Amino acid sequence: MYRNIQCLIQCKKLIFIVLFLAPFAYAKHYSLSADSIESQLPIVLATLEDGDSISIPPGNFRFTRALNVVAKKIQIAGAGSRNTVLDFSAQKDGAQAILARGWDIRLKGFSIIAPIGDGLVIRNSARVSLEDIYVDMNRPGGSKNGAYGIYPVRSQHISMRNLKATGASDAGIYLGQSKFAIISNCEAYQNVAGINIENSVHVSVENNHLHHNTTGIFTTSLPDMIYPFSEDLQFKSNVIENNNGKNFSTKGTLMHGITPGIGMLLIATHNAQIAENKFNGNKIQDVLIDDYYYLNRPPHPGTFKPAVGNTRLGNNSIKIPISINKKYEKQLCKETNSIINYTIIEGSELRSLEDECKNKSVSVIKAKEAKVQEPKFNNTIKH
Amino acid sequence: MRLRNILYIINYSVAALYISFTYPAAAQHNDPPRLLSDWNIYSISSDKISLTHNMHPYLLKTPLFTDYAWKWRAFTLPKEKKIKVYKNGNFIYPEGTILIKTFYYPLAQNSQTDVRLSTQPKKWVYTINTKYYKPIETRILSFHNDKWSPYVYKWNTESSEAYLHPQGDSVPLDAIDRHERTIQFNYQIPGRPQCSECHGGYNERNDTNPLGPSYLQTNIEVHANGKNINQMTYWLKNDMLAMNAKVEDVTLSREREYLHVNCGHCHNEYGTANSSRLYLDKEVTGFFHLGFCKPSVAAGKGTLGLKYDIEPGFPEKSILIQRLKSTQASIKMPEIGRTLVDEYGVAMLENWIRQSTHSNNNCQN
Repeated sequence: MYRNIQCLIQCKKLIFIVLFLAPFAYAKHYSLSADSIESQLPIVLATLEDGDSISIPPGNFRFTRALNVVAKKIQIAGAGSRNTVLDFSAQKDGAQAILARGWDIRLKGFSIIAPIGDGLVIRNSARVSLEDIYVDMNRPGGSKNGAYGIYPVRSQHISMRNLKATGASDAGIYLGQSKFAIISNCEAYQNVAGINIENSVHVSVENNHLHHNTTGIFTTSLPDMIYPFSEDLQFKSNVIENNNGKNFSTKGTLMHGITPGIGMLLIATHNAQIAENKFNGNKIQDVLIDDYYYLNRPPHPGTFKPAVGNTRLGNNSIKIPISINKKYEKQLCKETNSIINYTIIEGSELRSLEDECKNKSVSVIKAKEAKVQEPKFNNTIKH
Repeated sequence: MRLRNILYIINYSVAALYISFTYPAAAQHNDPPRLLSDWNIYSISSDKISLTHNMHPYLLKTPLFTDYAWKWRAFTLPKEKKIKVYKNGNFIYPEGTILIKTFYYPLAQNSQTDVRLSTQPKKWVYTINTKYYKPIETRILSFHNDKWSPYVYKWNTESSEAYLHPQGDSVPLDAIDRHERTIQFNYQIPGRPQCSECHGGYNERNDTNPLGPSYLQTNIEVHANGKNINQMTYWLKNDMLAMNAKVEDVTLSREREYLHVNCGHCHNEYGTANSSRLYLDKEVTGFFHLGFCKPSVAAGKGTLGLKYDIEPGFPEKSILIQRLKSTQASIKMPEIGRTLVDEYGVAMLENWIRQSTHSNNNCQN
């Protein structure tokens, strides 16, 4: 009898194992063959169930319609961004090349070439990992490039590593209305903005190379969004250089008014830390910090605070003095509303803007060119 | 020992049964019928497609614009089950409900037929004649295991059968639009993952849900069986509907209704377009979120060089109108389900914006 009871317990264990594993038994792995991928991939994506994964072989594949991925716990992996090329130059339908939506989405190892609209769009999703993806927005035949290369919006927990974006007529990498994001080891060049962050919180931008854009990093807060400010931001160990490119964005967009030659532009942000970045060859300004009025946008609803506040600057390698709100040159020290709580850390010396203002009426706070360690790059994308 | 073996067998069979009861959806889901005729929705003859006896046709007050397509809607409920209506007019469907919609066009080569699109009375359709009409696709929403599953079937050229077609397609068409003009264009059948772009919009979890039918949309007079009847009265009488509460009346202007139906499924708080902060569903009350003097958010090429979603008095300066008028893939709105311009709808909205005034009539700048 005792042995039978033992068996019951053991069998129960077995049952539990079977029951827990059962859902995964339904998850499928699709390994697509290179000769039929153009017709097969849309079908596989259309029948994709939660938990499935797809691997795409090396090769150059052409698509005429946008690809949609709507599922949970899925992975789509190419054979590396240099090997698996998804070519959208003949795309006719769809506002973007790839649209993904769901939870636990992992995309890696492919490139998107010449999409008709945006490149890779992630909407209303959570736990998204993007890795080793190259988006080239340049359209053949000189027609206007799409706006956004990589575009996660209204999402949470986004990891973007080893991405490369070029040719976007708005932003190579755009992060909008999102929470908890890491952008690291990415490269963006020849876009209007290399990285654009709008109303996003808890964002870390580290070890990126942003060059030959109109502006390297553009971070801003706009009125009337789910997150009222872009706040709790960290910009660390980025190389931001030669961002003097022509502004080819569409008239009417936020980006259209941005003057070429600004390395990093912080507008109406809160709690931003800018440290150990290397700036070089940006013609107008390496770092420009200002409030919402800089954008010259229509008036905002009453609840929105246009001020910029709590920025910590430290140990950056800067060629041009940091500019804080040139427009408010005279009122700067009086109007604590427009700029509040500035701390400049040079080496170990801490100075607040209030202290600066006590001594002299300044608008431009000069940060000495600090000697910093070269930012480390583990970027595996070669170009 | 024998008892132990028996216990093993019992336990395993219980486990197997449990699995088959818990996850049949997955098994069924991966395996929908390949042929539309297997659903027992239509009976198809050489020149006619007819609804089977358990399917009930219905009509909507304001249908979504899909390239002037005609839409043949019907549903079926499991025996003795009813649709429940809640206060806000939303329907709650019983397990086993199937909603279907067939997109079809009057054919251009048969223009002598009685196609009077603009003067068509609201009439329940039980049969279409495939000599004069071409069915393109049939979409099915099946409510099973507390989950709506979408399926798309594409009709063959002879209109004798439709095949499961999840990947989407482009169909060249030569048809007649509602203004009785011949139109030639490529009709776009959406892919299955695109369903949730619109159908996943009214729910925080982005689950697929039916969009069209709701009390406000179905509470209309229709011509059926030789007389005029109210659809809701008919459903109530025939035990298909249960009123849980009195439905609150929402009176919307024609224009707002158009925006709700054509835009509101993405442009609402939970929808795919919620990042734009332009909300066009029926619940919106503030002018700002409706687009009045509202600057666009991260619209890229879609701004077309204009500043505001709606600039009161100036439809030509309103992004909303210009995107409705565009046929370029990266600019047009709605993003899917349309390759032609709804000239009637656009004209109505243009008029609305031209006549509209706003507290600060000229948006600044």
